[in-house]
Amino acid sequence: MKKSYISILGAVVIMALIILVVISLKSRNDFTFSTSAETVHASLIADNHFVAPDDAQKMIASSGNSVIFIDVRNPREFDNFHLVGARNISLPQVLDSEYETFWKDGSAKVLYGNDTRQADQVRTLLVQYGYTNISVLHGGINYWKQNMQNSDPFSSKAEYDDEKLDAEALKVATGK
Amino acid sequence: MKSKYKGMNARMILSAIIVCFGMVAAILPQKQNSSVQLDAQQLLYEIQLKNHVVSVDEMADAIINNDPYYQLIDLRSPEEFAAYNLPGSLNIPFDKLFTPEWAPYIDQVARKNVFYSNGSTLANEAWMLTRQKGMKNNYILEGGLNNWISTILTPTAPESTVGDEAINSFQARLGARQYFSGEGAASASSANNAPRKPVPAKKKTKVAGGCS
Repeated sequence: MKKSYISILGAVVIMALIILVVISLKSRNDFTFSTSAETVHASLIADNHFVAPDDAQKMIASSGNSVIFIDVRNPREFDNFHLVGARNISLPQVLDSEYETFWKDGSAKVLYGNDTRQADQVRTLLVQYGYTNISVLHGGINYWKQNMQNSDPFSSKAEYDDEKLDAEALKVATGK
Repeated sequence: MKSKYKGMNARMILSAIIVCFGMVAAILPQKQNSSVQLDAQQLLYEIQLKNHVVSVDEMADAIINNDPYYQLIDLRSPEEFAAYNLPGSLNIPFDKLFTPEWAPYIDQVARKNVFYSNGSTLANEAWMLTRQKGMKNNYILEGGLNNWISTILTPTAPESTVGDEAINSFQARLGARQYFSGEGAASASSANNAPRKPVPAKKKTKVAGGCS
């Protein structure tokens, strides 16, 4: 009787351990940030993570181009207009498991959205999550559509960096 | 003999199962409190909600009405801040965001901090970093200073075909422009420019007196 009790107890313990292992494996697949806020902050201060529109144009035009452009806008906007060779991973899907190997493959990637911020927030999130080698197209599609499709892209002298103060407009507004 | 031990076995099995599940429950990792420990998926959700974006109209209204709940925080360099800033704003340059000096201002519960830069890219990066650290009450000014200049300081009349709402907000902006560029601006900037001290959340005190 004692022997059977021990064997039953042993079986139940083993069963419990199996359950424990299964649960712990499952909970590993979470979305914890793997790069600390301080590290991300320091890299944002030290490194330029933007690609100027004219550089992007050269990248797209060159045949030996290994840089991948990723459109973070929704599929409808992507179908309407997108950069040549770009891939569509819309903002709500960026953390989906199907793209995990893609983000990790180490190749250079440039994100773009309608404006700079839309893609920049995705980049920040991916960097916080632990992915690397990701840049952002400065000015996004809005600037591209208005300037880069002209015969002389820089004739308008429009600004693609939203973080540059529009000193002229401020002068007009304040009279200083 | 078999029947004699049957009940005993069942009890033993039952107790063994309970003990084992108790062990499993004890070893299991505690479920993280989602309101405190933010993960990437939740931050992605918050980005889409855009609840952290304060419109320039809301901000202009808050400044004009001297709303003490709002605290503007300018993330640009001290030089840029000195050249031009919004009334009542505090200068915390982006690279000083996490210095202990500014911690009481960034990580607090009493005020609605509104981050701004020339655009909104930098302010948004700062907001995402504070969210990663679990801080609350930080917001960003939609479009930053450039949007402020074009929308509040130089408002343009909407088309006559648009609804009342657009016309009303244009009327409000005309009033705001008067405030920020006219005589109001001088008094507002001199009176409010001294940054306010952060106020720690107070505990509710019981009403004294009365019959009890």
